Amino acid sequence: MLRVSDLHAKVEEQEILKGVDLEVHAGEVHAVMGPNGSGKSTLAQVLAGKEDYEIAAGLLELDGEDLREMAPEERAHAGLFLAFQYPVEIPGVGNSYFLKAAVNANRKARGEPELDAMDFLQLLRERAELVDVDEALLRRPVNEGFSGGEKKRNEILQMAVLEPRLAVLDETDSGLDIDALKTVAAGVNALRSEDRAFVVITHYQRLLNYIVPDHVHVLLNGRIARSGGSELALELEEKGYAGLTKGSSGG
Amino acid sequence: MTVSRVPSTAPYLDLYARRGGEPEILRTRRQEAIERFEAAGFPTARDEEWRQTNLGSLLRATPATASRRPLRGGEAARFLYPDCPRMVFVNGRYASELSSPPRQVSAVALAELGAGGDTEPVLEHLGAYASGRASCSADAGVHPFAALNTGLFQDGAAIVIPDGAVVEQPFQVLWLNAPAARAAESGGEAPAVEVSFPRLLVIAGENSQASMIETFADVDPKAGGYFACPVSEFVCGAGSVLHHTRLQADATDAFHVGFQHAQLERAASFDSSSLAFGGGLVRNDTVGLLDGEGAHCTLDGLYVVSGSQFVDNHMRVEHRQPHTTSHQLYKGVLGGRARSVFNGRIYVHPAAQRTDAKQTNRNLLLSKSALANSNPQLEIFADDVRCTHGSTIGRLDEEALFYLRSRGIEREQAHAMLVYAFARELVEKASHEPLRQDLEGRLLASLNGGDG
Repeated sequence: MLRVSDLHAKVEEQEILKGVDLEVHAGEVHAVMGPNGSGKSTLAQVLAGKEDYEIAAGLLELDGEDLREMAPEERAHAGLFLAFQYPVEIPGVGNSYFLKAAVNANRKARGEPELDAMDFLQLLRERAELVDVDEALLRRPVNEGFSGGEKKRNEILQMAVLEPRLAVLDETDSGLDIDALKTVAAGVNALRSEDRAFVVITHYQRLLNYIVPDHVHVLLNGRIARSGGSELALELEEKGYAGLTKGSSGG
Repeated sequence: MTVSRVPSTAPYLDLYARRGGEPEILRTRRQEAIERFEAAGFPTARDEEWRQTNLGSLLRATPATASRRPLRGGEAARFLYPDCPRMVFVNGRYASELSSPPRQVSAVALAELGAGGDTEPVLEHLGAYASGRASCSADAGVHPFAALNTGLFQDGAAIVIPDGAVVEQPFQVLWLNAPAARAAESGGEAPAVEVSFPRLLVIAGENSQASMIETFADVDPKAGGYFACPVSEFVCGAGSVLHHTRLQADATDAFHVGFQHAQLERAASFDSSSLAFGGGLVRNDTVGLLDGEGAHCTLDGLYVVSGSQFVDNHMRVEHRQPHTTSHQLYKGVLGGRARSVFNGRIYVHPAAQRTDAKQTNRNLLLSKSALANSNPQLEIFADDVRCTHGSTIGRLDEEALFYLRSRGIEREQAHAMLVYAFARELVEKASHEPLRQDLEGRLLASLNGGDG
């Protein structure tokens, strides 16, 4: 589904991704772990099409289509979704109005009929319940004045409503208490299916107790330093990133 | 260095000399006004209040009084709100066949003044504030265009709301411009411009309550090339509540230099929204004079301009008595090479203790060549006051744009959503639903085509 090969990306002449390889198939959950500054968020933003980053070299494909040629909205239409590490506050734009505009923009781009107000409301209520988002948040402007946990749950709500084929979660666990973390994980697990894939980017192993990944990758200094199964996350928890660096250079 | 030529008042004095008849009881007042205009002359770039407003293209054009013109059926209808009583003026002249004045208030066409009814309150106030007949401020000079209007208005509306009356339905005054043809630009000669002088006086009786909608528009956007020079005076009696919406939707090559003045007595409240979408060269001077204890005015505005439009709002709010409050919120959306000026002056007199004044001007620039100027001016001579002001000039939030696009919303739609979000509070303030929908439609239309 997603193919990233020898990806080099830079911002303001500084190279941050220095040859990332990642292959994700339908139905899989991949965790990308790494310390601060390793390039995790850059990878997420590059996937979503942030224009601040320049792709210097490498391949970036979704279902065989070159993502590099696609605008952010086109990537969304193709089924890509990014849960932002720092969701943006948008004063004056109502949350449910925004979600309806997004759902219908995607449906229109895919040649599907747009949802009317009633059908959309039904979908929204159902998904809001799934990820435990209070209806009051739907009436407020997008993310404005939301708590950290509310913002992250709102990201998962958007994911649940948009039903992407590939969801990238950028540090969705950061700043969450354990209850909120469980809610977010339950939302993700409810959406796991054979034709949907997840890339879960995280600093800590904790989230992976609740969203159990099929593959774990360690991103260090702009490269995938190691890949393995879910046991790799536990090893990291034990040894830390420093220990892993030594391990990899020694082996 | 170039020496700026002082623009000649002669063509306008000539209009005065050649004007048609007028109600006899206004003759002296108009004569005095035109003399004040002649003495003051047109402002130049050296005039501090007009420094940023380039009137060159307006004052180079030869003015001609806009002529009477009958409208074809339906030409006015698209600017009218079906349920509202109304007075319609075409080229500054009353069109009684298109009008249906309200019953609860006295509404008189100024050209008929003296022909019957009680002229006393109208005579007391007409021109008292706008053209310097009774100087309202320590340092407010004669506004030459307001004086010009008093001297030259062909007609207008005088509306008197009786004491204690509560008028439910908003009352609309529509000022339509219907230039005869595009001003001929014969080789070498100065272009001609059709001029109209809309004139409104509203007197809100004690403890009365009413809503007004003023609309400035053109019948044919392709005709264009006219000059609207309106004056509106609002006299708000003790305890009165007056809502006012001013929609300016002139042709984008029209000149619009307007003046409005609100005079507030004890505990009166005046709430005005000024929404400007049209005009090529637009200048609005708005004065709120809080002349009675506990009076309150809200002076809000929105300007949405693009292309080579220029819009200048000069505000002056004077707190003359204790416990007076004023709120100003002006927002601007500028695309293309559009330019805006917001000059917000708050003057607190020594007696005006416990004044609470707030002023905000926020501008959103949609293009690299658009330019917004914002000049707050506070002059405070009382010591127990709360005055705040703030101005911002910014661009669309790129992070928000990316966020919306990452959810599948097309760039253009995301753009329009953010601009609409910025401006919506001023549109949604309108409590009359057909008006609100009209304003919303105009805002959305200007976002779709206005980014050039």
